[in-house]
Amino acid sequence: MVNGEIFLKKPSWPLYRKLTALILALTGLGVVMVANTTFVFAGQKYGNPYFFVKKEILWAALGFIAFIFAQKIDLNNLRRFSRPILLTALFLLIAVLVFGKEINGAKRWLGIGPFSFQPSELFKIAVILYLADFLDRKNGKILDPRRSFVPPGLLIGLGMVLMLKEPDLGTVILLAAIVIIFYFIADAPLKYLSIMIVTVIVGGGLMMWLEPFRRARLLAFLNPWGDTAKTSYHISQSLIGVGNGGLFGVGLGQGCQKLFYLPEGHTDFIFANIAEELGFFGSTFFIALFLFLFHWGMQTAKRTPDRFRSLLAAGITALIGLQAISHISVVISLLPTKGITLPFISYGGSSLLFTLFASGLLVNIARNLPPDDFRI
Amino acid sequence: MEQKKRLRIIVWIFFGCFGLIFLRLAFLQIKEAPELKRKARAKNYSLISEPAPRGAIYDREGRPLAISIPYYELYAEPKYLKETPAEVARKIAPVISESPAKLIIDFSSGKGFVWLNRRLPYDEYVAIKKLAITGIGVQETFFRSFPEGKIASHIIGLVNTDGKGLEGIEKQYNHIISGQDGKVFILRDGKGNPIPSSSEGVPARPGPDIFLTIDIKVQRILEEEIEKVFKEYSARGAAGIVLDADNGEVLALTNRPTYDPNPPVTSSLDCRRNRSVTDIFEPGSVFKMVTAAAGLEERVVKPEDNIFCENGKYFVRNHTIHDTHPYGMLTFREVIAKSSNIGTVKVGFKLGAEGMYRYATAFGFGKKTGIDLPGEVSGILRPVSRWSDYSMTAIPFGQEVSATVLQCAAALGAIINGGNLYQPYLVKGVRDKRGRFVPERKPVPVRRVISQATSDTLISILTDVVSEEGTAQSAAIPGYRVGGKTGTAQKVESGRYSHNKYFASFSGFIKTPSRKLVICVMVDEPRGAYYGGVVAGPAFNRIGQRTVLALGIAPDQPVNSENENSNGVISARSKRESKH
Repeated sequence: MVNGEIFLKKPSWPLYRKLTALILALTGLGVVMVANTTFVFAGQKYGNPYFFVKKEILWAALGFIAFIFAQKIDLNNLRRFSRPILLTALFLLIAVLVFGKEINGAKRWLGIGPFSFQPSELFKIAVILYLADFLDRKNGKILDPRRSFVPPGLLIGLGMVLMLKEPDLGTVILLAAIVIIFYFIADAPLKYLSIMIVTVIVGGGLMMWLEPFRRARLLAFLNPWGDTAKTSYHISQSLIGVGNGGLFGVGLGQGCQKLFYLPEGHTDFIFANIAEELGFFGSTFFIALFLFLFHWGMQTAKRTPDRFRSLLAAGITALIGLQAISHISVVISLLPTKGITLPFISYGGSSLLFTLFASGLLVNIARNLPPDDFRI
Repeated sequence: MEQKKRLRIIVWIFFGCFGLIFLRLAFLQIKEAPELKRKARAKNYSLISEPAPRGAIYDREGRPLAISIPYYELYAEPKYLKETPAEVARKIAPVISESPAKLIIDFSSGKGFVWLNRRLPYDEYVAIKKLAITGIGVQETFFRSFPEGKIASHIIGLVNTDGKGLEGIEKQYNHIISGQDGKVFILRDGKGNPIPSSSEGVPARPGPDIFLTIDIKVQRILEEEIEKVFKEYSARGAAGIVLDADNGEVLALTNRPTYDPNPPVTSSLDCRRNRSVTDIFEPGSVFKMVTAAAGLEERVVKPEDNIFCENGKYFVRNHTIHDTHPYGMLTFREVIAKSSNIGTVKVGFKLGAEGMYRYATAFGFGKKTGIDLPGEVSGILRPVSRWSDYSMTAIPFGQEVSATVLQCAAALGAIINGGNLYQPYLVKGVRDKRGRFVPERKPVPVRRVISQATSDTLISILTDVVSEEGTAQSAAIPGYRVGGKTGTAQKVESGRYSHNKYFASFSGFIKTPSRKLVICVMVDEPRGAYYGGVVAGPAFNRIGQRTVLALGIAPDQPVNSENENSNGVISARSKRESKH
């Protein structure tokens, strides 16, 4: 179709614009879902239905500034600070164990006035920045285990141990997966990758099995309808919410699970509420948003000639994608219960702030892509 | 380029994960959805039944006979209590004047649901509502009250503790009158609190009100007079019916023994039996009306024809028929007025078995009248093929047949209204809570049995029964055209006719140009006297007199002094009535 060719030449949006639109849409939907899921809960607990939404909007505003800032930043400059940033994050992880606020038996937050800040969120970004820089500089020498595995292993390993103290096994496993993905993309020999994967699986498995509450969760995952009053309560309520949504959902705001049935309905289980209220079509729409974000993020990584930027883009995209997949998988019982939030959507200030900052870096990279010969 | 290849592998792994998620979601939200929805519903909603108020029962003028009165039941759902049992007990104990200790025991019993008080007065109900304690609930229910007590109890019936009709109209029309209980689903949050204005369901549909054909004034008269005759003769039972012959409306119906349907119900089943439709008796001489009607209609006999009554003893078909008083030659009119068995049998012979059976059937014997009451029986009228040689020497004067009082009343109604048999009925109309009337029930003519001319002749003959020469002078009411037929039937005991147990009855009518009323009185095993004219006649007389007054039916007959004398004095009558 000769004529058709002419019409197809209408230029599509550049990647960075697609990414920006998607990121802003996700942030907006996140605010809506946080409002929706916390309204009744906040009203009863704090006497103010807007308690969480107000904070979330404030963090979103801060995150938006970070998003813009990250786009303007000179990445070569930032890269020079990758090690200091990682050390700061490690310091904050130590601080959280000393000064941290304990919520639900876990010390993960540092209080700053009325806001709380989760150092592990910073640590995740810091690790990605650090590894992108490190693996780029070690290009070609990745076969030398002493040089290319030991230094990051020590630094990241220390961070992971600190996070396990909080305890936050979910984030540790997530981070370990990111590290493995990084080394995989960076052409590490499969021999070392296998060792890393086996270590994570055995270590993670042991930690799950040896800690009673984690073992109970694992068993609940294997049998969600077992002890629905206690160990399986969380997962069974989540599944009921998802199933209750059916094809079209019960309607935005009409969900029942957020009415004190499903704990953490605005954070670790927010997707259950989305699935209940918006149904199969709505949840598929959300999944599609993350899928496109992932796809365009990876496109950015592929098309960036600079190796550091490519690794950075891939790391950020993998982090967001992996978090989304883990969160949804927990909700629909494809993975055992882990406290993992849905990026952009779940309530959580520092999470939103750093996700938006990282997204800003991704858009920054996408903005500076060389013209694509294959696309018009 | 190795890096790009590995990146592509990562991308495909992630896509695979997204695909898996998509499939799992499809499984949960499409295939498993019905089951999970059911689980959500079972968990989030609790079903509360909202009882529908039962419709009231009124007499034809709207006077209440059965009404439902609301009351309140207090319950606790301990698992939903937000405060400690002690706190809740301290709050509600004073309101319902209950000891806190008992309440605490109830709350801590481990049961999901406990009744605290099943008869909460309105004021306390309001007070409890005001406290609005989560986990404490009040349910409105109703109890059935019968303001007239024993009056018309056999018609109205009664309800059990669940409010279900057990007898009478309450049973017959239970499906209409009970309405439709509502179902309310209350959405609760995870802590068990009901979510305001989130309830859904089907609201209770109140049962419509029923208006009976009964006139409570006539009913009271009938009750009093039947009670009187029941007591006076220490009878085993008694029954009375007042029927509007023009349409089959039952104006009053009663039985003895009777009962009070108001709770607590202690009456025996025997007392609750509506004898006038559930019990059969041999009508005896009352049945001569049928033979007479058939004879006249078939023109086998004329009122003034002479019939030889064999001086009281008639040997026929290897069987002897007796008259209580021996007669020689009587006109047919006199045969009926004096109730001669022999004369009646001779008319029956002329009719033949087929003719006899045809008319008995046409008048509704051997078949349920179809009145809207439970438990009606059809009586016994065997088909001709099963009649014996003696049957024709018995059936014409009411032996070998059994009937209900109601069947006799309905048959007499056909005789006096010009020949049309109507189905007796009790429910005149139904009115729902919005005031809409279901169209008033139309009378149901069953069939034309005899001609207008035959009807007129029979009325004149039956009027003679209450004349000086008749068997029931006591029944006459001055100023009104009154007639009827006495019945004095021996009860059957172990296959033989008893000589000391009788059914004494009088089936009579009052006819004015505007109204035609049938009044039947039946007394089971009266003691002291047993002739229908003696026992039931005076009762008919009193019922009739009071009823015409109550209904405002004006007299249309000249009053002569003779009749005046014969009225008022009830049983001190020297005249002997013939039996059968």
